[in-house]
This record gives sequence, structure tokens and C-alpha cells, in this order.
Amino acid sequence: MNRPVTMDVRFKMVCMAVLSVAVLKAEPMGLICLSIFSFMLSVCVRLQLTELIRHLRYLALALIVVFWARAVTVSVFSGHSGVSVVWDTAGAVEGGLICWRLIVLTFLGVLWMATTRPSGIRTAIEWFCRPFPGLPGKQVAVMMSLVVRFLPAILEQARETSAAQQCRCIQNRKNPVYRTVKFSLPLLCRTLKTADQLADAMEARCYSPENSRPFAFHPDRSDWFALIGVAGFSALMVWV
Amino acid sequence: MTLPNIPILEVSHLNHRFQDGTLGIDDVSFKIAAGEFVVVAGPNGSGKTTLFRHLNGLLMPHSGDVRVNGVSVSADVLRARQMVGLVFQDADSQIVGETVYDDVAFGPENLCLAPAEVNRRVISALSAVGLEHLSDRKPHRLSGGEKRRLAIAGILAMESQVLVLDEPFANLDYSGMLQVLSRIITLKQTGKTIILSTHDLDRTMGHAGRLILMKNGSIIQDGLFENVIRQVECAGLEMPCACRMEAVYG
Repeated sequence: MNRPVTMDVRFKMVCMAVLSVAVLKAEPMGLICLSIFSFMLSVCVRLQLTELIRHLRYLALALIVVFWARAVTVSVFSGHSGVSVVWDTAGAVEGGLICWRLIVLTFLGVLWMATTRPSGIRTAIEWFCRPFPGLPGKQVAVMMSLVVRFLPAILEQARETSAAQQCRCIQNRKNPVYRTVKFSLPLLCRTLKTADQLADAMEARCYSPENSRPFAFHPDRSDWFALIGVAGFSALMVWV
Repeated sequence: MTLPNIPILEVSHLNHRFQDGTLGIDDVSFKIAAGEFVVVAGPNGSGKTTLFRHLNGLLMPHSGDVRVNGVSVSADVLRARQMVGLVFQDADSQIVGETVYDDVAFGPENLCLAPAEVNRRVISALSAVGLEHLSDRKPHRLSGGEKRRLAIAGILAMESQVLVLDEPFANLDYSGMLQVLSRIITLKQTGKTIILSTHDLDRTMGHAGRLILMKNGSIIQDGLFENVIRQVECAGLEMPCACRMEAVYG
């Protein structure tokens, strides 16, 4: 998914933030333009739309729930056994608009992830944290990258723990507290042990929070043009 | 750069006691010359991993000393970690990068090298272990053998002179084991000093020059591989198949 993109990561991050605000504020006309813009960007970076839709299929369920919650009003009458379900057209329009915004936001997020190296994101976060005194930028950046790296490993450990307990008939226990404790404690112990080993491994490779690396950013005029263009376009879309 | 007549690694009267009072290492001494391929063997709990952690300063001795190229590890830990690269038994918990490239770059970046130099070292280390075509791959998607090779690449990128590998063949199938072993042999041929722990001595027979046997935190045998291999059963290890056949059929 990672493709070489020449745009400076910091500029790209600001552009994405500006576009996201515009998406949240835009009305239907602006949203149409922003959707077309996002689609054109995806064509430019050769994002595989079918693969994207397959990965985001669970998002559709969340969107249906959001839409349903806005479009339908359920009333329960006290003293009677009846429940009334009322379709609210204004609510449905509002729900549709919210879902549309969420889809465009997700799309922009995927575009950002697909065209940026994780190390670039980490370095940009470190750079953005730098002006704030007391905020340990390097540690924040390393922590974020470790979360990205270890989330699949922790999920895999959770699956293994769950499977091992099912082999020993944990499903026969009906008490959810017992099951939660028996599942979470071994998982937590294993995760903490992995974290310990990780700390040792990082130390063995000379990691120290005090080490400061040079930032490898190479902004040029095209980055500024892109930022000004995106800011102007976003302002126009909000105004429309 | 190795100084003449000074062993690259010198351990003298090393002792280590764990927090609960158990003796982990008991008066261990040995010297290793540059370019040697040494196998440290012993049953579980014999102190191999604890010894290895002393070699690059992850643990500090309660008494005794570890010297890398003549300089005590406790005097300059960073230098020791740069010179002695440690590859852990569990490759999964050693890999910290989001991609193969990022993981190999982790060590050189910690040495505050210029980006161009980091890039050069990463490419060179990846090609040394045959993973250059997987540089953009997520590490958790690699096979067991590939993960182990990635862990080795992470150390190679720091240009360590001594490679210490803790159970590099553990949990690997035959093809994974062959991948790792062939890379280790290539590294030995390029002049690296290799120290490797295992209880499966079949794998390293014919490649390693020296064998150190450990039991209960002490060294019980240290010598030429072909001489010490006949005494591995006194350390509670299985004698390699070839040695047993030789003993039976002559």
C-alpha cells in the first residue's frame, strides 16, 4: 500500500486536517465537490477501490446504525403495550448527510495512510510536538509507532488465549465476570511480558529517549502551493 | 577495528544473582578471538540467556567483568551495544518497526546517523539476509524464518563486530532453519564473530569451531567443537546423531 510520494509529510498532515474540517462543515453542494476531489486523489495514487471497499465493509454496518438512529423515531406508550415506529424524513436527510461525511472522512484517512510511510508519520508527529514544552515528542511518536506495530500481535495473542480456553470448555461457564477475568489476566500478563522483552530489545539496539535524530524533511515550493490550494478549496466548499 | 592480541570478548569471573537470590551465572570466564564461531550449549535454565545479556550490557555483573575489545562493558555500555549485537530468542518481541525497512533502520537511527547512511546500512543489511524484496512488508506478515532473518538484519545494520544469537533455530521448521543457518555461515565467512546458543547441536556441527557447555550457571566444558561434542551428555544434552553413529559403527 505504501507508495513513494514526494509531498512533505507535515504539509500533507495539515492539508488532511484542513480537508477534514471542510468535510465536517460542508453542505451537500460542497460535499459533492469534496467527494469528487477525494475520488480524483484516489485515482492519482492508484488506490484499489475494490480492495478498499472489502476492507471497509464493517464500516457500512456502523453507518446503517447511524442512519437508522437519525431516520426513525421509536416511541413506547406507557400504560399500553404498543410501540410506534415513525419515519422522519428530515432526520433521514440529516442521517444521510452524516453518513456521507463519515464516508468521505474515512476515504481521506485511507488515502493518507496509503501514501505515507509510518516512519514519516512518526517523524511528523515528533516535529509537531517540538514547540510544546514538556511534551515528550519523541516518546509520543515512538509509542504511537509501537501501538501500530503491536496491535496485530496483541490481537493474535487474544485469539490464541481465547482458542486455548475454548479447548478447555470455558463456554460451559455462564458467569461473564469469571470468563472475563480468566481471559484478561493471562492476556495482560503475556502482553506485559512482551512489553518487557521489547524494552530489552530496544535497549540492546541503543534506544534512548535522549537520542535526537535529524529530521529528514525536504519541503519545497510545491508543498506550499498544495497547502494554499487545499486551504482555498476547503474554504470555498464550506462557503458553498 | 580489533586491536592486535586483545580478544574481542573477554569474560572474567562473572557472577550474576537474580532478585530472588538464585545464582544465574557462577564464576564464568572465557575469551573469544575475532572471527571465531562459538556455540554455547546447555539445558534450559543453564544460564545461556543470562550470560548473553551480560555481553552487551543489558545486565550488569554483581562481580567479575565483561570486556569488549579491551574496554569494560560497564565503562561504556553504548559502545558495547554497538559492537555486540544481540538477537533475541523470540523474534516477534524484538521487531519494533511498522515495516521491514523501518525495523532495520531503528538501530542506526538510534546511533543518530545521517539519513543517507541509515539508508545505506538498511539496504546492505537487508541484502545480507536476503530480505531486500520485502522492505515494505509488515513484519507480522513474515514467516518464522523471515522474522528471524529480519532480527539479524536489525543487528547487522548497526555494523556490530560480534553477533550473539540466542536460540536462533527455536520454533523454526526445516526450511526456516536452513534459511537462518545459511545466513549465519555467510556472516561468519565475512569475518563476523558469531556466538550462538542452542541445545540442538546437529545444526551447527561442521560449521562452529568451538563449543562451550553450560550447566547450572557454570561452564563445564570449553574447547574444540569436535572434542567437546562427545561429552555433551554430561550436560544433559542429546549427542548429535552423527556422533552416535560414529560411536556405534566406528
